Amino acid sequence: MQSVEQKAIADWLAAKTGKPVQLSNVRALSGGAIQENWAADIDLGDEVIAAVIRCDAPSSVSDSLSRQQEFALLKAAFANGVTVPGPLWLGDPALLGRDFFIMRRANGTAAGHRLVRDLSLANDRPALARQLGRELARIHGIRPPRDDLDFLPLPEIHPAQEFVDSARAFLDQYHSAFPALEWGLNWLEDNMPAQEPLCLVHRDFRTGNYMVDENGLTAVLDWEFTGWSQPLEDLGWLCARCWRFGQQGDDYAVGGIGHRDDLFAGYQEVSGRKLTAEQVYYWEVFAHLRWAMIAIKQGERHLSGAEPSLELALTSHIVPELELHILRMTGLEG
Amino acid sequence: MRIQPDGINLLDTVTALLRDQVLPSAAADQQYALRMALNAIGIARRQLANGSQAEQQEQALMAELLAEQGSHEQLSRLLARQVREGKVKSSMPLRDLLWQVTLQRVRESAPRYLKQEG
Repeated sequence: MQSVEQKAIADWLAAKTGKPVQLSNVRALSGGAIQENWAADIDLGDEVIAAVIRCDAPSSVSDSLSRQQEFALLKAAFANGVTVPGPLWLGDPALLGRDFFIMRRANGTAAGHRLVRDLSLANDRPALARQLGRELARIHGIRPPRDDLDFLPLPEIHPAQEFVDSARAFLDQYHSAFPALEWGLNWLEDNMPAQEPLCLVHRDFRTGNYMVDENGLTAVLDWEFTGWSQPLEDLGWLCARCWRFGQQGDDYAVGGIGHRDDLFAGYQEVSGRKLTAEQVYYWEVFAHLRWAMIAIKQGERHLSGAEPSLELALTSHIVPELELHILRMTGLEG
Repeated sequence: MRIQPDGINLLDTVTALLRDQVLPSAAADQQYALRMALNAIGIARRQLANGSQAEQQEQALMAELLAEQGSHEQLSRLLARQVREGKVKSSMPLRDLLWQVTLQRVRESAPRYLKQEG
């Protein structure tokens, strides 16, 4: 971040807070392709806040949420007791020429590959799984209608049916056919559970998208796909085999770090709702289908020449194992 | 006649070089890039070693079971449509076909899955 931008933010905060504001230790943090994140220490004279300035990347072309919407979600989640980085100020886009907001900086790491193997992080794993359950229950406690979240579209049909319909529409116009995904989509349609009331669903709640330090969970991140949906969608996403970072077996079913029983116990603690693995199974299949569709689209960004990237190219090659696992989970095996 | 070593041999040699000599001393963010590169070389090597034989066999089998002629892509599209219309569910040969073509993709793209899941 250029020093002129830093100064603009400091002056703007000084006017807002009536305090002499200085920014220091400004440095780039690794982030997604859509955002640009900067760590900064914000000195307010009587207090130094460890903060993150989260901006749109200059080349942002995305249908995910805007920074303004993400800020509204962080506020709603924070108010409902979800462990998120405390939202501080929504930025004035004129300052940086793009949207941004400022939030508190959480400690620890989000790196999934590291977390599943390094037991010095969140070393009480059953406690971490229970904590994740409590966090999800708090997110799902947020229900429509909400004026502050009115930018989130309300699904008009069952959210799973909406997904099936949009996936088929995409596959119909795509240059390659995916017979195994068609099989999975039919299964989702044939086995769809009755719709329950809509609630806020994070939709990317998995290992890699929450931060932990040596004591446990410090922040739930990445709210850019959040929407109104079915609560079990989040549980299926978190438990799906494709997000276990290579860990195997029931003891690691929850994002490669814990057992479903602990996750469900934490969920029940807050929501009062008792979950079973059978109920979540449908949404684990759903998670594989959804991830496969996202992976195809990410790979296409490379394949089309729009954004040449080895990481995106390899994402396409995740699709086959998702397909085979979907066939397995839905009773088709050779 | 191409000169030896051939493409597969070169990819194997590059893999060994990156894995044994470059990776161990690389910085953390470089290691991630190197692992991606090794993964990509592995996929390319397996595709090169398989050639087009598996795809031709698949095409012939799809043509036979679907009783249609066409390119691999056209027949895959037809298989996909038949799955969506529910015609594959009740046909053991078509179910087996769907399994086999999916399995073949995994053998090339992610053989680790087969090692983990058997």
